[in-house]
Amino acid sequence: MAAGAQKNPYKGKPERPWIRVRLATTSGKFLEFELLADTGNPCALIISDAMMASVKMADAADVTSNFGMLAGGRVRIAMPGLALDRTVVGYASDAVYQAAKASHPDFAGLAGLPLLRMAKFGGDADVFWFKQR
Amino acid sequence: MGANSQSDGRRRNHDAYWRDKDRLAERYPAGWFVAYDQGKVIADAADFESLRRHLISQGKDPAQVLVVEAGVDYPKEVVIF
Repeated sequence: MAAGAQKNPYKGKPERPWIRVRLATTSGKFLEFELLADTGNPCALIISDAMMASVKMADAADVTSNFGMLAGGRVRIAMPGLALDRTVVGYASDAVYQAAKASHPDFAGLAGLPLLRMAKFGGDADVFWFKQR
Repeated sequence: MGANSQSDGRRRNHDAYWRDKDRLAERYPAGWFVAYDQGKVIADAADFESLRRHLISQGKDPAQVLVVEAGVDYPKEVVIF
């Protein structure tokens, strides 16, 4: 498998697809999160308020949702193994974070279609993969 | 700055952006980055990193500044799960 490519066994109750995402922090370090992959989600990513505070490069437009208001923040995705280094608009919501955590405690939020389609993604009966385009 | 005044400032920026949205699309090339602080446009640049560096050089904390792209339709409402 190519460097940086992910092949992640489904996990959680119920079992969910997920990806590992690396974000730059405002202090120049990097944080890795496991995010539940949700192809029906129109937001690139949704993480907790506290995590967003560590990685928010600038404020971004908010959006309302069935989980309440999602606070916008521009974050930098830094995943050289997948040739991804770009800023995207993400969102902070503790309600969504808790919903993802309820599936599996490792999940730190959701990755939606705008993030997933920056790379190749898909799955089979056992794993969900995420790899360079 | 206190949490309340940060929240007020954030609200002002967001209100100003939604008010100006169509005008931004006419004034700037599509995808141009525009920064709002205190409810006003304070800077703009062709790319996000240039704008962020400019804000820092002006003593601004970019995390407290609303940055939008001209001509982009940000969703106002979404359904999750």
